[in-house]
Amino acid sequence: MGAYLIRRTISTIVLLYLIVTVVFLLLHLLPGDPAMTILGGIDANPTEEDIARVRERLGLDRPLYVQYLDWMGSLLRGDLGTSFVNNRSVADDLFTRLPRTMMLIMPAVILAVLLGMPMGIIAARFRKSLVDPGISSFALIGFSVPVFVSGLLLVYLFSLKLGWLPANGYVSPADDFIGFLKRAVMPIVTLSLGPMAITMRMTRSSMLEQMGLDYVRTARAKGLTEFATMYRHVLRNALLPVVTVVALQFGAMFAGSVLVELIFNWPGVNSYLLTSISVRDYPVVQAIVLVIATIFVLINFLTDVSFAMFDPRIRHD
Amino acid sequence: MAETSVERSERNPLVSAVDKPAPRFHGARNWLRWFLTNPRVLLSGGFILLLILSALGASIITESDPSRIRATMRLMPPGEGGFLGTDEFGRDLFARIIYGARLTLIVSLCSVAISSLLGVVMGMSAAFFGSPTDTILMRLADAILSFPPILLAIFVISFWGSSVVNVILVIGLLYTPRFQRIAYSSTLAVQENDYILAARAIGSRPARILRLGILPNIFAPIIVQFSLAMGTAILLESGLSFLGLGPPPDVASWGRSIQQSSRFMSQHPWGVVWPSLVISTTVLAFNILGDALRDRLDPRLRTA
Repeated sequence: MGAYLIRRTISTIVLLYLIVTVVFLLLHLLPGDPAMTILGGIDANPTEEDIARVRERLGLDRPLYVQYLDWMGSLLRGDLGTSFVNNRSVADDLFTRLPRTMMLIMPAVILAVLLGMPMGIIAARFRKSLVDPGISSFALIGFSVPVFVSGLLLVYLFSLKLGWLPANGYVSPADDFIGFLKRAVMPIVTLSLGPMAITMRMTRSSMLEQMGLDYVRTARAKGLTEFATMYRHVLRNALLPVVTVVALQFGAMFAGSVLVELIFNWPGVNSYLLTSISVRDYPVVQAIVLVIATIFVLINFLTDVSFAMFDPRIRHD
Repeated sequence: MAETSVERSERNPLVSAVDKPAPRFHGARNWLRWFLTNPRVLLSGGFILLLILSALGASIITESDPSRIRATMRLMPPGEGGFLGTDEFGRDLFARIIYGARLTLIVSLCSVAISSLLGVVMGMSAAFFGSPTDTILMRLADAILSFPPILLAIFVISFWGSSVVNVILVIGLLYTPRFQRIAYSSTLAVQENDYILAARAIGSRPARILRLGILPNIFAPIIVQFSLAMGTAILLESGLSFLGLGPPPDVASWGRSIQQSSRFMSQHPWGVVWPSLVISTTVLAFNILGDALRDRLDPRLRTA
């Protein structure tokens, strides 16, 4: 276990280092001069002196390796840089924005698992009846419909037609908890549909795979009830691949929340990213991409390590 | 049949070294029967064919220009100003859907073609040549996979600028690791076979072994992945268009249509309804086709 942990930690650190470097290189080696963009692009026709002044202020006139070392150094100190646009610290803004996105993602993951797993179990158990094709088609539709379609459908039904929920917006749960819930319900449901469908499919196929194995026949032969066979034996063994998929869904959630935050006008980390892109606020864009990728990598790391703890086959692989 | 296999083995020393011929795709007639007798294949494949045909013959199917703005015909219900109604600029929604199919199919097909080619070559080489090629290529795949796809796409497009070519390149690069991983693990399994050893023993060059000995045997999972990747590529393309990071505004695009029409959704839902339906159905069709191909080509991968 120790050796596995060390190996996995090293490869995670290498991966994080790669990500940091790739993000840096993307920003600095791609065509387009941030100084030029800040001054309004070629159309605005900025003077040479203006460009030189902005480049100096941003530190872009220094050699590439100095900028790289500087960026690595400030990252290690926890400094994510300052916005070009309003000179605020990116870390401060992220600190207020990130929890709001998490308030959508966390409940959405829980909802997806709470509904997706039982649906998968039911579909696998009643394979021969009409229940399975019904649930399976629902799942297939669930991950074929884009989030902006399901989101707009919910808005149309529950806000525009029925008038039960506000169409979009955000209030802090500390100020008005009921108002917060009313606004969060639709984004959370929208976000959870795809992952719910994937969880369901994974649970179903994993259960079916286990049900065909010899130990299940043995369990039945020694007279265990169907309930005990299913939930004490099959389900336990079937869960491992399901939990991996659920962990991977966090990444998918971040992807989905980009669109969901736009539709529901939710001031989370993704809408911050989109506004920063539209005003070419590169340090902010860079920092957000980095933070989200880091969260994603760390979740994968924790998943792998916890599996290795439960399943000795993995760490000897 | 016997005649052709003798001919082939005379021309091709690798095949003559094969103790058991690679499982080939069955005849075209079998495929046609499979297509026609399977309701889900017939429906999904038929829909995709219909979409391809209407994208190709867009100017034959509808005479109206998808970008013609008609100030007097704004927000018309279906049947007025066009078969499916008009949008907030008075543009014909039916024409916009048909021309949008062109964009969607071109973007998804080109990007998945790029990612499957790159991914298969990289995955096969990584498995075949071993370390250090293996380590470098597979770590690269891990690095790409560690970003949520749409986020990386947004990041890159914001620097490259939004254009059809950039969207294709980004989606193509993003989906390369999927094909790479599948090609990698299948190659690892296939190259253990005796006929690969035999091919090495008679001195076949790596490129030849990869092309004739390994590629035909890892084809099945790649075909399945191709269909599934088409579905997700369409989702990603329409998502980027919805964010305004897809092709330029004058190009008819399903994702952008939905975004623009969503502001008028309460009085005129049609502008959202039609493109939403068509995106969802298209992705669903590719997913169903992928599942069906999986059942047909590789019973071991079947979701039971």
